[in-house]
Amino acid sequence: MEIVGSIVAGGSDYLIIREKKGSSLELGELLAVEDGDKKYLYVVSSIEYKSILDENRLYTSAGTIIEGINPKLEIPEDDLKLFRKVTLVPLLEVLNNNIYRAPRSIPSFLSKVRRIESSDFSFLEIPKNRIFLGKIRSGSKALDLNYYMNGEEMLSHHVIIAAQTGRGKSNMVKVMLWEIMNYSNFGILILDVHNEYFGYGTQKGLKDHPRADKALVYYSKSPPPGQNKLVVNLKSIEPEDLLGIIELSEPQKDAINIFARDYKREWLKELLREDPERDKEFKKIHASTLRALRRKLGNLFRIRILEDGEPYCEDDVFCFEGAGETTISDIADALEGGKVVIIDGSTIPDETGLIIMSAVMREVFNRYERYKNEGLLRDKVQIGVVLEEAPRILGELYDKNIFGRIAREGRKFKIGLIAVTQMASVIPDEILANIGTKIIMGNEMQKERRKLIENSPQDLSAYNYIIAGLEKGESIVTSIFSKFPVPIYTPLFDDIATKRADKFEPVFF
Amino acid sequence: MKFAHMSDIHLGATTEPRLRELEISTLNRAFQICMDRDVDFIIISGDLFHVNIPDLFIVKEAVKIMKRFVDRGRKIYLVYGSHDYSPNATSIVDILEEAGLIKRVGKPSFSNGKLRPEIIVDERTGAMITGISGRKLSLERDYFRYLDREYFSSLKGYKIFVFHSAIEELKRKGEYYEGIASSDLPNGFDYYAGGHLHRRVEDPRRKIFYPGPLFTGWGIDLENTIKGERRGFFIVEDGRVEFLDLTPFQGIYKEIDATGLSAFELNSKIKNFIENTDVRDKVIVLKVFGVLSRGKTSDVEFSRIREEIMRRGALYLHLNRSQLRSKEFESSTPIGEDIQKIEENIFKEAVSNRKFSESKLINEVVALSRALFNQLKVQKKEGEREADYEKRMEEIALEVLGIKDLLSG
Repeated sequence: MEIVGSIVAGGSDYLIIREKKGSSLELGELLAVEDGDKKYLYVVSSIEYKSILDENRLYTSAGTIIEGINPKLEIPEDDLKLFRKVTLVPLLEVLNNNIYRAPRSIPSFLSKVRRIESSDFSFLEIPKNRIFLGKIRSGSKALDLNYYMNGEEMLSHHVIIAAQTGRGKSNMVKVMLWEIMNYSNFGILILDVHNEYFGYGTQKGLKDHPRADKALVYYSKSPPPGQNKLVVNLKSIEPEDLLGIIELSEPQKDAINIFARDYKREWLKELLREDPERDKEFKKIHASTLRALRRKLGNLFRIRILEDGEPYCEDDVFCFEGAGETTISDIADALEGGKVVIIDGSTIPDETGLIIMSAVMREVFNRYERYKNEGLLRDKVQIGVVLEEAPRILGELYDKNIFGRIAREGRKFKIGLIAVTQMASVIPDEILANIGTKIIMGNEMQKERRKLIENSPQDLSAYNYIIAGLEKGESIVTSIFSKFPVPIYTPLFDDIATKRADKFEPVFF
Repeated sequence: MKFAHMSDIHLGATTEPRLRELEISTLNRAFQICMDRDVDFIIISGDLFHVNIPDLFIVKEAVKIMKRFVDRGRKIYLVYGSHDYSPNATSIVDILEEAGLIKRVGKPSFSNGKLRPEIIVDERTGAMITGISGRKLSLERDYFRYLDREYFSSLKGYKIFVFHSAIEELKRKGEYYEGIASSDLPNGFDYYAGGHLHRRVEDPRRKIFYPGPLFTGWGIDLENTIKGERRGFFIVEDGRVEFLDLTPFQGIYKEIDATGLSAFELNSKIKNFIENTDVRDKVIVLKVFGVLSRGKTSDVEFSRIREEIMRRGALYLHLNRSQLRSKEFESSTPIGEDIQKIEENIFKEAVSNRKFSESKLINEVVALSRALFNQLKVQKKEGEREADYEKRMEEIALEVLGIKDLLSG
């Protein structure tokens, strides 16, 4: 037990300790105070010098040292008048029967403070349907203690992973998914805009998971052998899949609705087909609206109009006939089967990928809504959809698209969002407030930190500089399902995947 | 270079005499066109026959037709299909190959742990032909994983890949099958000759072509033909693919909803349909469904209806009454559109009370059960010892279940 300080001031909001010389405490470090049958856990939130010597004496001493003037007016190293004052913010109060809660009392004055040990968290239980997030961390040191959350709770109430670029967002998602693939009890959909999750060639990815053939489905425009070709029949795209993904004027929306009413599953083909005589029959649709809509949808789905007026898909991701009729429902099936589904978004425009995601989630939402009405929802796996770098989708357009609907209502239907973003500040408060778990990684931008701190389930007001200083892989998990903000370190995905590739056995449990 | 691409001919699938005649005459027409158009060779992408040992009458007729083509110095190349392949017994395909009538392509060989199906070079044209045969339950899917893709890419010349597997992304709404991904096919071929999918698919971008069945005398295929699906084969000349429509019959598809009718009223309704319809030389698909308000389903005079339709010169009546129920009798005999469907329905019913993590698994269990059921029908040979018969059955079962290699270590 390493004593690092003693309580000298403070109260229920914070404690001041005098640091034991040589302890070298750092921001974010976890400390424990034992007091009778209670134990208190604290986090270091600030460190400063403190001296009870006269200020002039200190300046004079510093001058003799740096100017080299004799006789030196040195201060002995063991002088008790010089020390570091450390401010701690409360984390938890643990009762002797392993019950833990937000602190309701403070430890005795002058109590000794020690560094934390793994055993101090013995009250944590491995939850049902767990999702591994990383190892509990004290400052920059990871403890030999894994931190899991109850996956159903976590995913149903949405998750945001927020960080500046290069702080380990994708690594965190990959580690989570790797563990999820062990159990197939969650269906997760990802639009992989950088094609970094599946892995290619010798680069490690989820493809290297021992259960990849059972637990992973991959769709790509150019798939490796054995993987699925991403081809979507436009019959499976519905008008609502476009809403909130592309901007449409009211007359354009009306035109789409008229074509959908008249042509059902063929609405897109018929809308894009140039037939002047037929178009005249649509008296409520202005010719310029049709032209603008055709141009917009034609660009979106890469459709060219042939000389005879028939639309032709130039890009083989979308087609009118022959292929991809069941792609959307196949992906929905895979998600229902507890699989991780990756759509390679690196070779298709962002909006195209989002429309496919939107169509899939619409299908899943409809199914789960039906299951709920039929009383079957309890037996269904929790579904999660990873939205990467899509601030617009959860920002200005959120109230129109399926993702906004999931954010608002998803928890009732076992469907949740995992938003991965650098720009939490553009996400409306209504959405942020609906996100139950926030995984906050390093961020030097004050505006981003402030937004996250203001919307955290726990009080993180003292964590401003701690968050700014988080290194790659380090994060703070703050959740409505956790009684305290949990500092964690998420291991490197490559290390996990390499270890598993050598020998298939659980690494973390 | 000019070649024909046929598939899923399923010779011997029908036992109806008039349909059997049509089946033979359709095959004859297809081969005659090939000779008239002077094709260099014919590719058949599996399921030339409906079973591995078919009725010898149909074999004799097929041999006569194919021999005329082969005698002109031309070749017929094929792969096994899921129907005419047998894991444990010789197939008629093997016999015809031994006789020099056909040539099976893509016989497997391994090099450095990779699968290199044999490549046959057509002597007349220099075309390189290889492929992967179909197996029951789409077990051939694993073979694609082991293909030596670099080897195929390195070959220069006109290359044709023949396969008997459905491609997942071609699946239509309501179709359920476990197929391969198009990415499973090796790159760099000039023509991918597909089989197993019972409808025509032309994907010129990726050079994947399925002609669909040449003739459809049974089940849902028959219904689809009547509903307008065209049947025939492809002729490929200098990269241009032409579909030759051989749709062998015209037909009438009629649905009659019996809901609320008595058995007597339903009889009248069907008779009325017959009297007001020209059925001569047509295949009639009659689907009767719903719940009778009075009377039993057996009160509906289906035998007389059949007689009457045939008397009026119809080619064939395909009667689908699987969804006809009677209020008086809730229990129903398992009836389906054909034998396969009936078996499938019974197995589905049997597994429906089990809980599966994936709904697709139910289909797999049903398919596996049907495959086992079909294979285990094999009778004891004359003079075969009981122990040998049991051992043979055991081997068949392990093969069908795909665990033979597993158990043998």
